[in-house]
Amino acid sequence: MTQETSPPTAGTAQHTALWQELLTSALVGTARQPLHLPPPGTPITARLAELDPTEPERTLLGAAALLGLYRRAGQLPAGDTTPAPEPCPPEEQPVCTPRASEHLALMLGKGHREVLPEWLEAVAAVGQRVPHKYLVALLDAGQKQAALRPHILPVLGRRGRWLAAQNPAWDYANADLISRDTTADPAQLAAVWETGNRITRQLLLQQVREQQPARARDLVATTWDNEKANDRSSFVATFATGLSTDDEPFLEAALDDRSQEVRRTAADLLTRLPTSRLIERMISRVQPLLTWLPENPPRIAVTLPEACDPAMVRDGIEPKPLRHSGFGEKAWWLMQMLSAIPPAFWAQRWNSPPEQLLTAAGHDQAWRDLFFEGWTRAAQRRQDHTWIEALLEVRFKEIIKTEIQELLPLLAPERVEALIFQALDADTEPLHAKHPALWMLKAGRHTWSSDLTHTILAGLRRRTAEKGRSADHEVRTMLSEFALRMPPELYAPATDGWPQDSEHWKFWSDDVRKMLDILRFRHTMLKEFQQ
Amino acid sequence: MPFSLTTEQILALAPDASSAKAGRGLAGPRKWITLGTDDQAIWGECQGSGSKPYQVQIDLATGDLAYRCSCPSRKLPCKHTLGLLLLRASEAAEFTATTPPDWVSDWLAKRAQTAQKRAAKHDQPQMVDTEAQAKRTAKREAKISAGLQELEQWLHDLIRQGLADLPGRPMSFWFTPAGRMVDAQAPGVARMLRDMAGIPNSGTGWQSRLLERFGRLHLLIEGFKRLDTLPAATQADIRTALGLTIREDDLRNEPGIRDHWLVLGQQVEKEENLTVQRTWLWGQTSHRPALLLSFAAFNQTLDHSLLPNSRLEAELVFYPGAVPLRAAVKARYTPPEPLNPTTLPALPTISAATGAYAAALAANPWIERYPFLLRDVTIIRQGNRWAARDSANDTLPFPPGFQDGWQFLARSGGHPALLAGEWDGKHLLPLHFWPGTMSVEC
Repeated sequence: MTQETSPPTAGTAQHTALWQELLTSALVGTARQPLHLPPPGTPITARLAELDPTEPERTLLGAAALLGLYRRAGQLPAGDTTPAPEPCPPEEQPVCTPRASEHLALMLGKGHREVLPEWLEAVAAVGQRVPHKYLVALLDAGQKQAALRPHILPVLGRRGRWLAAQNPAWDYANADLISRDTTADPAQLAAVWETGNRITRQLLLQQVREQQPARARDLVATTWDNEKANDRSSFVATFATGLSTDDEPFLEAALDDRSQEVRRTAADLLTRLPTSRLIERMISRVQPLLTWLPENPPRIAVTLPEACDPAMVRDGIEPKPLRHSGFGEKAWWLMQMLSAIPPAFWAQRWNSPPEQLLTAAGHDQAWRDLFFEGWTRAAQRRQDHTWIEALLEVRFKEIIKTEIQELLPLLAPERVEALIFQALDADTEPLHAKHPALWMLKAGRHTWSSDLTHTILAGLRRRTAEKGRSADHEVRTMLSEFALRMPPELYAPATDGWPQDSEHWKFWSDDVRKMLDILRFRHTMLKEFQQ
Repeated sequence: MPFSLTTEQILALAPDASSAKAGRGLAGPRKWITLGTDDQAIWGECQGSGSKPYQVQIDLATGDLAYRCSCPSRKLPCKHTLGLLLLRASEAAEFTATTPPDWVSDWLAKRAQTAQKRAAKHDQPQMVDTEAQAKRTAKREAKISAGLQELEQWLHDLIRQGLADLPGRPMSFWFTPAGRMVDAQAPGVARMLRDMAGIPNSGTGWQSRLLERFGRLHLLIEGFKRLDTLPAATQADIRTALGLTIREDDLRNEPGIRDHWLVLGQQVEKEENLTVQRTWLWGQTSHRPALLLSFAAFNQTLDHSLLPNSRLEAELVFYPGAVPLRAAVKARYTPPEPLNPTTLPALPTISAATGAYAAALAANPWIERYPFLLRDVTIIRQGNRWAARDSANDTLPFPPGFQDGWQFLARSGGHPALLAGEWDGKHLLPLHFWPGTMSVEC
């Protein structure tokens, strides 16, 4: 066989022309344009000349059979010399065990998908990677679910990063892992910063911020004017790590950035500093608007701001209320300003504890939401645990689920559990749908202590033995989430003691079984990493 | 009971993606009320939506993976069967070794009985009424002859009037004559016609593709007219192309080829109401390809005894023809074992493979697919499509619908690898891919 690069012989050119003639004749029909066979010259035309010319259709079909077969048999593979990416270098991390990869396969196939982050973390913790055959499914999962991405990156191995670099859909994983040596060497650091791709640079920045925030800030400053808007905002966002007053001049300058997203990020970070010029400007704006009335009971008098001036907008105030925020324009401005001021400022200024301030703010229904939302946001920004607990206490009573979910995870796990135990002592009817502890359990993100787990399991066993009403539906649906919070080594005791003879068991059995199944899976799955 | 199936092989049995997913969902011991095993079978009871649990049983002893489930699903194997197999592969300890309950032992006994009867039938000297058979053959050939005559007229009319307006024709334009060819007992020709139906609307170059098919059909019609004057092997090829197949039982007395047969891969295709499974083998010493076909009409199961990437010693009998490809298993000497890809007799270049294809076509112009086993190919992307490329930079395109390009890249890392595929003259449909030289978990 000849290579495609060699010139076609006279014979093949003639046969190509002949096939074209056949096609033309076949398309318009032999009735209008019968086929004229060429004189014999090549072995092919010699054969064609043997066809009976009396029936034009038969002649054409015979020629098509011969030439068609000739073309099929003589077809040469097409050449393609486009360079392919360099093959992937060998892996440095060991692969996880076959059983561990079976578990991964199961989760990628949608079984126990909720446990996937935990598995990925466990693989990363032992320094292993996923098998090559699951890379595509895993990268796709990360493409669809951004929350998985930080868990995926450390376990991709070289192959995974090599693969991701070739598919724009997986660019989130397209990062070169940066070693500690690199971050320690200024020349290497600068080189990666200047030439790395977007994701690599963002990861690099994140790493350097953790160790040497000032150096990371200097790095950003070197190329700041040439970066695209969305890169600038994601780089500034890394300042949340290791944030300090040293960052203030840079952030204050970023308030004048061309991009709204950069301005918004910078303003948010400035409110998180212990003190900043932005916070002082906010205080001087809000102070004249709020008056503490030390009556019995105390109240807070509110004057709404008249306008939202450009200086306020520069400091991160959104002029238009968010849809469904429930606030009028002016109340919306005030709420935002309030959220930029450390809540402790008010406690000190009015010389009252947070609980009293919240009570005072609650008197006037018109301003209640304004204060609560402003202070909730402010407490979140400052991570002010005193205020968070004060706010939560009110929210527990009312079971305001969204705020419980936002605030509770900010507290230390021991504190969360203490609050849950408190709530359980206050209402001893086991875990009904209106029990505050239930919503606290749902909001918590930590792994439960063994004590709490046993207490909750006991409560659930009592509940399932005594009740099974449609009102318990919400409790039932939470069981799968609870299974993710319980320590997996308690799987065996968790399976015991369920009231399977109870008349209510049918109502609960499916979800309890599902809960135990998840717990069992986590138990088996994590055991794979314990050797 | 030795159990050698891997999760991947089990999932490959699934009739579709949703069954595979559902099967995975049932691969946890909590879904099962009982799980048992003895030295022949595994079984389990799975709580479904009904009041009575579904009873699933799988016979592992006979090597052909027979199974039965009491669920009403028409998909075979059903999700319960897949789930039970997956569970056996991942958590064998969950199965209690015990004597089978009645519903299992009854079924096993029934299967043993049927097998015995079948064996007895084989052993009996078949009383063949050659005269009656010759009469039947003659009658069928007369029918085919009349059908082909009619088809030839149709084809000639078409060529006389021209093909230009074919893209506007309805499907019935092709399906009506195809139906007549079924009536004329030439199902192979019917299939050729149905395959043509899509070509006029298949984009640039359809004229050339269609005319080439017409040429092949014409050759078949002409060949049948002068069947008696042709060599025996070509006669067999024409009969096969027409759809006149030889019964597998009639081959049993023919001499076969004993070899270590490597199972390269499997393709399952649905044609009308029939599911066709093509299993490609390669003889390790004989260096020849073999094709095993398995058919399943509605609710029948395909032969699952040979799974891709395995190897067994067996005697195969080939159906007659100028390029014998299709074969039947006459005897098995070893159970299938995992294949070692380093022993695969792969061709070094794509042009060597297309050369072999050309030689095969020259002997049998009706060959539709031919297996390629290629060494040192890389997978490359060409726009949205994928192709295989050899060390000489020759390429073969994968079919447009091929989805696993990224998967191949992930597994090979861009390094040259072994590839088995089915070549149809236009596209290489990958059958199996061996990244690296070792069959290891990568």
